[in-house]
Amino acid sequence: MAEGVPTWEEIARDHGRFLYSVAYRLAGNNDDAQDLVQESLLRIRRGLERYEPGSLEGWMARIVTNVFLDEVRRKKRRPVDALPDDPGRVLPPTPAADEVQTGLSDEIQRALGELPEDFRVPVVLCDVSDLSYEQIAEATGVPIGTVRSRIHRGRRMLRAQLTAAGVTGP
Amino acid sequence: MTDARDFLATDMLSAYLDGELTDTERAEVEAQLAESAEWRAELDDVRGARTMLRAVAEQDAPEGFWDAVMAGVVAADDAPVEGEEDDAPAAATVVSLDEKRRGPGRWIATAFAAAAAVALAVIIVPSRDTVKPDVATAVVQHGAQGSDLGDPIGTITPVGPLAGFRR
Repeated sequence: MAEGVPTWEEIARDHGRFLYSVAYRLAGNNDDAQDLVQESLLRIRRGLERYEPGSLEGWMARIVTNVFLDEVRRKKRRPVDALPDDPGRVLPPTPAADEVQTGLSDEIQRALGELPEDFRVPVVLCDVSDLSYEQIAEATGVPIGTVRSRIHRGRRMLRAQLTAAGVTGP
Repeated sequence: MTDARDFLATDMLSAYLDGELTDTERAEVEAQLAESAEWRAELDDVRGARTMLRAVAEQDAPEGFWDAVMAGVVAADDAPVEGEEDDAPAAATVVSLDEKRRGPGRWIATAFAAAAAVALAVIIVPSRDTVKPDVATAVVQHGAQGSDLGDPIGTITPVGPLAGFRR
């Protein structure tokens, strides 16, 4: 492994909070976030052989995003899993109805869960992961102009959801 | 009438907040904001969402989260997952890491200590005559999970506390 490249254990120890935050905001609940972080760490462990020291958090965010989008695509490929009277089962994960959540963080999580993943992913990568538009474009595989548009529209949707929920500020 | 600001679109407002515009674009947006109450209202909207999300951007995982994750990682096979993409980064721009973004330090040591303890217990404590792992059951369960049409999550879910059996 190249000099200066951390081990996956060091990444988990030093950037666990970052990994969890991105995964939780993308997945929408702790159970799915756990699966997402676990699979991401496995891919990080395998990918470290090819990793070149650079934007570590950008690289990690890209991996988490790939794992999340793989799971979204897998669910879409398998609509038979969904019950006919339960369309929510094929939609992006949202917080479970029985999760009693309070506070701004949870209100935001609920609002994020209402955003289609095409908008939720770039918003999370921008405002939670603090990636540049160029890094988000690379992570999601869409042109930078599309990233800009989706972040803006995503934020507008997020604000509308929060306003509807009576949340006006931090 | 053709105006120098005809190219402007409101989605530039988020890019404006994020510092993603060129100097020329930023000047044009600011000029538009000075003239348009509609633009100012939209800027307030997206700024509010951005501020609120960033205010709660990072948070700690709930208790037990990392123990479960680490147990799963330690127990998982190293076999590539079907459909996995190449995650190696193309760029190598150095970005300083925020010092406050530090994960919990104790869980990883705890997870490894637990894995080591399990391994030690398997090696030392039970005699081969008295304890036998239920391999047949594990194979059946593992096979059932592995046939889940390439499920990237399901295929790496440990069947049971098998960390001690890893090579």
